[in-house]
Amino acid sequence: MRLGIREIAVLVCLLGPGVACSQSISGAMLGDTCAGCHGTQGAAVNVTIPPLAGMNAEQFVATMLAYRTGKQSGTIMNRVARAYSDEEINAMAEYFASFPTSTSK
Amino acid sequence: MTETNKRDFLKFLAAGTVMSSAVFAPSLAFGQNPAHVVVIGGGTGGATAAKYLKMGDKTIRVTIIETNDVYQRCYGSNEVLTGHSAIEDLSISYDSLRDKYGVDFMFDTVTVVDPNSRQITLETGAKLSYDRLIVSPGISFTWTETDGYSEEIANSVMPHSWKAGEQTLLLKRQIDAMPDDGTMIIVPPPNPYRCPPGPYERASLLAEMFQKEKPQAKILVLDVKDGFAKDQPFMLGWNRLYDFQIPETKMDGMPDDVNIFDAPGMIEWVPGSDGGKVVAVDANAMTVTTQFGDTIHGDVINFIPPQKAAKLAFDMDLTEGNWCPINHLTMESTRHPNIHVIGDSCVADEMPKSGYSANTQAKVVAAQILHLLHDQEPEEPTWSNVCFSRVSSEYGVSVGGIYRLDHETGKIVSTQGSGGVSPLDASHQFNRLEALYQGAWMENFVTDSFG
Repeated sequence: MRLGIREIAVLVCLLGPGVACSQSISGAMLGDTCAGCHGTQGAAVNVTIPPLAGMNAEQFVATMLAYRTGKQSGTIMNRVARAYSDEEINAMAEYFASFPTSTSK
Repeated sequence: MTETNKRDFLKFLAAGTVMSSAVFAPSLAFGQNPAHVVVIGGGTGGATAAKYLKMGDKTIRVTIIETNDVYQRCYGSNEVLTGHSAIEDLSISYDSLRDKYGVDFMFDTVTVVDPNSRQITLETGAKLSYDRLIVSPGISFTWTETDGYSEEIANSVMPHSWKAGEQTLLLKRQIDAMPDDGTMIIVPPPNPYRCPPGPYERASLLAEMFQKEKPQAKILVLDVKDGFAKDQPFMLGWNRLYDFQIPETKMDGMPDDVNIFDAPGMIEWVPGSDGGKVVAVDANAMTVTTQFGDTIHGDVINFIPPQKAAKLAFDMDLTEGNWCPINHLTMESTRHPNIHVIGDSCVADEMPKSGYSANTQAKVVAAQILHLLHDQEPEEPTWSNVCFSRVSSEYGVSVGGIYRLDHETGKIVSTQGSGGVSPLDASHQFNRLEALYQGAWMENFVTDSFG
């Protein structure tokens, strides 16, 4: 059996995603991983953990960068912020800024 | 590899996923009726997936098939053992998913799933068909690996209390009835298992309770493992609060002011390499026997058995070994097309089997299924896990991880240089805050998943 390039590529992919194709992750995909603590779309019901919905994008970025560099001490947020690139932090900032603040809901 | 090439490869990846199931799974473009996504299992994974599917596209039909009409969460059940919470506090209603998001429910039990006709038969005889199926069935136990142990013993004498409900209440009754100078033995399971820090949080919160109510009591943790999730932050807290002697193997990085004790305090932890593995139990004598031949009496024996995917996952032929292999881009089973497996029963590589993991896996599967139903390529996924544990009601420790798809291996990997456990040089205030955040997390997490 002879396989063309496309079949081989598909086969490789069927066997497992065995190729490097690190694409950028959307703001929603990134931001939804935060929701377990900060609430769905950032609208925390218990605000001991700060809500992110409607947060000013510049403030979000500045806070995340401060956590990432260690300039600001959190508890878990320093460990979390170190996972993200500038691009990803910007994408999350835009995502959360697009929602109304929790209190205005 | 150039950016263009990367994108092309992602397309092929997506093409592979779509092509493997295109024959069976009509997309929205082909169908007259709204697509139907069925979710088997209304736990954290299933509930979150249903909610996020409806949030993403309210025109699709989403049906959860679940045996019980009220969910009992496991997280927070250690607080029921100590009396800080009532068993009723663990109950979560499905009203919000039904009324606010329009999720349909069938409170029934699955008997047969036919992946070819995409039809499900339920115990009551009802049948329904799906375009995409999400299976989030949780865990089951292996009862047979320890001499003298069985499901009957677990239900009567040595509760695991690893699924919330009657098991929680049985263990609580035993703890309450334990003599003031009694010994409670906790036997944590081998990896991998649901809620890796759970047995150790249980030991912690019971120690806090015993300090007040039974100060002569002992908690003996007989472990098959030589380490566990957040072990150093836990042990540091135990050292400060419960006179725990930190073993030499766990001293690396500990602060200079740790206490040194001559005798074991309230909590004693025996790792596998020191004979911690329990090989037999005797329910009549209330003893456990370790690999090194020691037979030890316990007034309460909390034996948590080894775990595997839920029985349904085996019945549906979704397992290889004890767990369900999946394509991590889409969470689709590698064994049957159009069936996606999330939560404790799936193989998620570096992600722990936690409610938080199930919650973020659910969001990934919801996003990808919506793409597939709309004939779009799956998007680049990411997942996270955050877990707060209480060493006492005012002393918390945490672990966090941000996960990505490694396209070289197809595995889920932790993002390098990030995540991990609470630092050992954390301040008193830091640990106070982590205990506080645990409570806030509980409320926000339950609402994100079910509300």
